[in-house]
Amino acid sequence: MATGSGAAAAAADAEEKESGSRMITLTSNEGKAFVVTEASARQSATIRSMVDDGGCVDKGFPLPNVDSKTLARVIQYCDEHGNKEAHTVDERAALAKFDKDFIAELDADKAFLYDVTMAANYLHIQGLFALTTQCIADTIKGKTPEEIRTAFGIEYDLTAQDEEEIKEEDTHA
Amino acid sequence: MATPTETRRRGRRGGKLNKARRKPPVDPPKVVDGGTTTTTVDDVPDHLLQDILLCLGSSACLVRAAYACKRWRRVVTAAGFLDAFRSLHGATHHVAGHYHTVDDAYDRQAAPGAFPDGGRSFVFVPSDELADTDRRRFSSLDFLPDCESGYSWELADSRGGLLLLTKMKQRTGDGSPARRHCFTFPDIVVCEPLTRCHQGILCPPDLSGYQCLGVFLLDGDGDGGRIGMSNFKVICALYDRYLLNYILPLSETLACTFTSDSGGGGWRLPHSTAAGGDVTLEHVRLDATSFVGRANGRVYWEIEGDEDGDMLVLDETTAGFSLVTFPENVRESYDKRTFRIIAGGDGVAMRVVRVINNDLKVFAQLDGDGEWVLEKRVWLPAAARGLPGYDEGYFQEQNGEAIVVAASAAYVLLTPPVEDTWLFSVELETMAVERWHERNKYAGVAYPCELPWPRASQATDADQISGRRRC
Repeated sequence: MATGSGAAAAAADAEEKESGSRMITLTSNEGKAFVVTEASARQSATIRSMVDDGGCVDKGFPLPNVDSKTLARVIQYCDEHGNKEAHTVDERAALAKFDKDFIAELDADKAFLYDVTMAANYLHIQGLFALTTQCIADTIKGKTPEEIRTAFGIEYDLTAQDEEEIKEEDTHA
Repeated sequence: MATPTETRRRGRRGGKLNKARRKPPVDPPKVVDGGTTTTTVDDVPDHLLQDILLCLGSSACLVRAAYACKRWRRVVTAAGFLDAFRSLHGATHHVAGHYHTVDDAYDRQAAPGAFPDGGRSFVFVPSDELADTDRRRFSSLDFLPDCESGYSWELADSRGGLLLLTKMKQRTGDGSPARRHCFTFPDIVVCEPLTRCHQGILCPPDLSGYQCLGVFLLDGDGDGGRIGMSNFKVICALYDRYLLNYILPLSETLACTFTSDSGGGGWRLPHSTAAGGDVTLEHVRLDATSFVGRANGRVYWEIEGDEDGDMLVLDETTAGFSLVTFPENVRESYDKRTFRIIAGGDGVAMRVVRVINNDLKVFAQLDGDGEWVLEKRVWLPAAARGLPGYDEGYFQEQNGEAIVVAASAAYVLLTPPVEDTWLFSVELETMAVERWHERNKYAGVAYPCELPWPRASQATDADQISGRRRC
């Protein structure tokens, strides 16, 4: 129906305006479907580019690398950031508070935090990725190597040679 | 629920200590078990771990993280990581802490008990992120050689992770006005607190009678300019007194440079005055100089009571001296206690910090045409009024100007004209005035000391190894 480029652009514009209210289905690796607004889904650069490329919006997007529990949490973040306005100072403050509470809750469950980090990376959700990586980095801050190993459950795997080098630096005299 | 899986995985790995490199987990190590999964930091791929470590923002933390395990060390020492970290956070984040000194002009009342070992005239204040083990190593410089009785090592400069100390006569407690800017060529030691390496440098015999204006650390020419125990230079600003025609007492400046082993080694004495790089003045004038700052590869001294407003300048690259005069609006109502030169950057060649009528002013000399502009100002009596311990009498007009105790590119430390134990500082970025920082406890220059970067596990660089063994 779009005969001229102007009409096509106008149609695209109209579609763009509509897009906020369109619904998109995301499917976890367990086959569970999550229906979200397009605005929410567009928080993910991966999904955004698929939608913009005329991907199969109607059929939904399968996400083979993300399980249901992780996807639900990621969607919680996207809903907050995609569906709500952030123009006024109050709105931004509300969003900042959401982020703070969101990450505090995640921080209490490290395994889940890593899952969400990897999902945020896979889906290219920049804000969420920055939030989770910073949270993990904050756990490292101010700790000795031993404390870091304890906090992260890392196995001590340095070789005798590594140890000697580090010890030399620690007891250099 | 998480534990059984985790234990099993660890046990498997722990049994193979000799395995050169841990394979990335082939299967996603997720066990679907009633809907719960167990993910550990080991499941986070390298490129994400790299992103996480880039968030640290302080190399103090990064150095510790690099020693957590092989994989983390590999990520930190991988090609490109260092550059990425530096471009994100800049150089200022490598600071392990500051060594605070106390100026001669002030006594130690301002920081009672802060100098536990008596003879030492500086104290280490670690940055927040520094791990406890590192704090102890930076705090204790007990590996330095002993001084003969009546002498002690005083901090003269810092650069990268190195400190430069000079052997000075200990101050007597009677508050005698020691003129510290007037001393003979001292013995020098350069050290790296983290590795506890040090190198003593003796004064060249020919120059032992010369008066010393100051000693400064410079980057070495090797190792891509990265300063280290095997790659540094020391420049020493001196002057010699003599009588011209047995009558006229003159002084002639000269600078000599010491280079660490990798740069050829030893002192390089000035060739002659043929290069025109030296300044001859009546010696009373050189005796009356005070160091006021360093910027843009030059060191500046004011000459007290100089009617022309000349300043003595040493070029760190050419080791040549010259005289310069600052514009009238910068020099106005000049007094050495209200004048400091600090580093510029970002289109600014250098900055001058002044107190004029109790206005703290920051002048910037722009790159290119060298024009001077007034960049920032704050009226100290008003700004300091809200601070704890403020007294209405501090800034009364008849008392004169607030005194600049020390200035760095980041902040200026000041006291009111009449109360030299009430220190406060002005953050130059924001011109905010405050007293709560630890730095406000020490009336003197603070020397930053940086942490070196973690080296790759397979350190085969011959220079590095030989450099370490020699210490």
